[in-house]
Amino acid sequence: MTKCRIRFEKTGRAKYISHLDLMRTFQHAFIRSGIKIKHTEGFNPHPYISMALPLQLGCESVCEVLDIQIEDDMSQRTLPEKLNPWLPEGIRAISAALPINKVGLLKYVRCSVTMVYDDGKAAERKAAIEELFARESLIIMKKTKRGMGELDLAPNVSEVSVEVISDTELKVTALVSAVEPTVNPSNLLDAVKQNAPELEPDFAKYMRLEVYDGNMKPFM
Amino acid sequence: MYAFCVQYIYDWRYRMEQRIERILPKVQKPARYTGGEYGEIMKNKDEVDVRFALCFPDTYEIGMSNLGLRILYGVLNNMDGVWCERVFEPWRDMAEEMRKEGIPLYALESGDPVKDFDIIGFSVGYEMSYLGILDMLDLAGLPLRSADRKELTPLVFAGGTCMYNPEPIADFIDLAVIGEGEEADAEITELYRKAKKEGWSKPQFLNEAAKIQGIYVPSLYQHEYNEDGTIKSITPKGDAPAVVTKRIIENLDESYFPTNTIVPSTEIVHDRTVLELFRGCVRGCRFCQAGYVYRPIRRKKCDTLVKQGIEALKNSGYEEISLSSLSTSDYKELTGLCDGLLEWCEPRKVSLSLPSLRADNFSMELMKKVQKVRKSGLTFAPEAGSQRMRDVINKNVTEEDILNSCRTAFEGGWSTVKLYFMMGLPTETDEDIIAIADLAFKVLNTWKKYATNKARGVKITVSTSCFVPKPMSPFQWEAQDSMEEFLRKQQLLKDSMRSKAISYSWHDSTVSFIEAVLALGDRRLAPVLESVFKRSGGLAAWEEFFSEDAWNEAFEENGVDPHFYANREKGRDEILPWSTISAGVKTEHLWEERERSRRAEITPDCRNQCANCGARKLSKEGRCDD
Ligand code: SF4
Repeated sequence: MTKCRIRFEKTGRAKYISHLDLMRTFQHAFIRSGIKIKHTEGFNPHPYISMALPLQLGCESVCEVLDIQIEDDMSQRTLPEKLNPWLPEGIRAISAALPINKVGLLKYVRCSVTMVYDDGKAAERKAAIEELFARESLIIMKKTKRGMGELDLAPNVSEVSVEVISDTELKVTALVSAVEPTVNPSNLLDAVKQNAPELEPDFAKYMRLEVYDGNMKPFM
Repeated sequence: MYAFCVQYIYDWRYRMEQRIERILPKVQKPARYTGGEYGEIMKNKDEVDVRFALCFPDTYEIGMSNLGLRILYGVLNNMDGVWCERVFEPWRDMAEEMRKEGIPLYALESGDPVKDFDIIGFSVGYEMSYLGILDMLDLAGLPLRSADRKELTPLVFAGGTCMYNPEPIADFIDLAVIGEGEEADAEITELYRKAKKEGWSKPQFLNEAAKIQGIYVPSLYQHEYNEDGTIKSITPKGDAPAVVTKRIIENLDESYFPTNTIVPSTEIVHDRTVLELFRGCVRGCRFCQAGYVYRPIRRKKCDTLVKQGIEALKNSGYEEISLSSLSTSDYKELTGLCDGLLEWCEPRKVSLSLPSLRADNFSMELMKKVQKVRKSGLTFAPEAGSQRMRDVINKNVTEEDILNSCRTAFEGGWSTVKLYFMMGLPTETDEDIIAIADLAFKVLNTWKKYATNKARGVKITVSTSCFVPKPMSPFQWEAQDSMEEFLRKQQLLKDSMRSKAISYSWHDSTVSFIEAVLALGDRRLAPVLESVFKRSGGLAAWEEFFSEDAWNEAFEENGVDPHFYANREKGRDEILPWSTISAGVKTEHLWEERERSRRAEITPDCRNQCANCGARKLSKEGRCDD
């Protein structure tokens, strides 16, 4: 058995594949590829796949992390090219290597929210959005396991930058806390909606850009 | 096969981002509306001259589980210059968003609007999905009625089991394919290609199409009625034949089977590889439309099946394979087939499942084989409780067979048994209903006597469905029980159950009533379907969207008496709406079977003695597999 960590992207149409379905998609893809990986125990064994930090439905990512154990004697490095032909459109392994740290150490995520304004006046809102994310405290109401709860984004969101992409698009990039508390990219939009409703876009797109451990070391 | 065009994908994405993407976050399970699955076939639209929208009038999850749809998808895409794409009926939330935003129904592969396609082909396996056809045409932005679509393009047709009586949807479709579609769909596509190139009018095309065997063009048949509402005459026009005979594929070993197919990225109903062992059934149960319309029986070779099964599993990565056919255990080399598959499956932890085992030849040996990989509940379908009733329907299974099979199962450690019955069968009396409860009780006693693992307890489930008389079966002339009668019988059976270990569930008779109306109906139902669609929308096969009120109002509004179709016994000489269609089985044979049923006389199965039904004439060699 060789431990193996794969970094993959989930973009385009594939962003609508749910976390559970993504697991099954990988299971099928591994079987198709002929790469033998460790199976779960029990009556109905499946290829064993562990994925850190489920991605929100509808969010794209270029930094997803997946751990498996390979049965065959093969180098991790060649794994992406062996696996990629068997994956659906939008899901692509970028690199693979021996895991250097535990998934539990994952702490920060860099992500972006692209806000679309149909009136073509995206640039005019740049300063106001910057101001919003610079506030000392930025409370949002957020669904938790125990109903709605308050969360202050200010201490959990940093390195915010706002970029004008086009007449209609503004891109907010930020470093957010991945666990305890979990800040999803959509929470950045919640902050806009709840604290500055006049800045609410007509549509928003989300993307995960990089994951880090507590020392800001990229996970792969 | 995978003519892949990257540029095209980007186009799609672009458009999707523009319009569809905005509504996807608002709907449940958006993955079923995006396409992009592994194995999807992309082509360059500049290199094809026929765009084919293969439509399934129900959800993605149901449609993608349909083997027939996957076969046609492959067959059509294997044709040069043809790009066949999939379209399913969106769930309510999605349909609402699409209507609100003015997004027309689009095909999953390209994202292009269905209304711009050349051919729109519906696969219809269930009468309740007729409303789905209207829903999809409406969402596409097309007129519902064939007569209102004046141009050749898009051509709208339907195929599938329901088309043995296409009359209820006759006014909506341009033509129907009767029988198996692999060849006929391709021929229609070729003819269309020629017509488009030469600039034919729609009537010109339809007249030519009617000359192809198995093609029924409803508009070429004039229906006239008697005072009492029965059909007086059906007159063919132009080159339409008096009777359209269904198509069959003679050699299943040589015909296309999808071993390289789409693997959905979201869970569907049958998320596994499915093998078709044969078409047709040797049994001849008299209530069963499938048993008659799929004749003659054609079997696939064991070697072919093992080869295709393994290939399909390898290509899909599925961890389960199931054998599907009308009566799987009638496959002669079943043991050999299971051995061949298990040899490959077991070391790879792939499980094999056998649905629809018959109670009479359920063998311990076979059961153990399947059990080695996975063990699930057992299902038996005696269909009727008393021997007399089983003889009436020609279900050649005895009580002894059933109890012996249960004994084998209980001895083998099974403890969950489901028993399926039908209610409202011709000549049924209260004794026959009570006999269902008695039989279930005997199954329980068998468990008490033979179960090896009593500590686990036992679960026996009895389910009853309501009998729906179907065209082309010996019971096509029968009247369905009234809804009140169904309710009374269900209550009677409930009261007759003698143990808490036996649970009883039944189907809603309202749905079965509508099913009977649609199965036995004629083209006068068209305005009814339109009214129901206006009132309650598509997806009528789904309990949450089925509206009894909508149907009642629609019948009333259009002055149509549904009982005329469902609850009236038809005479031997009555012209039935499907009289212009033949499944190859002679009407005389059906009538004789009906007469025998009245005398509770059984007819031996095709393997023991050919009953000369006429179906063998459909094959060039004039024989049935035996
Ligand atoms: S021709 Fe004979 S063997 Fe063939 S399906 Fe009919 S009854 Fe059965």
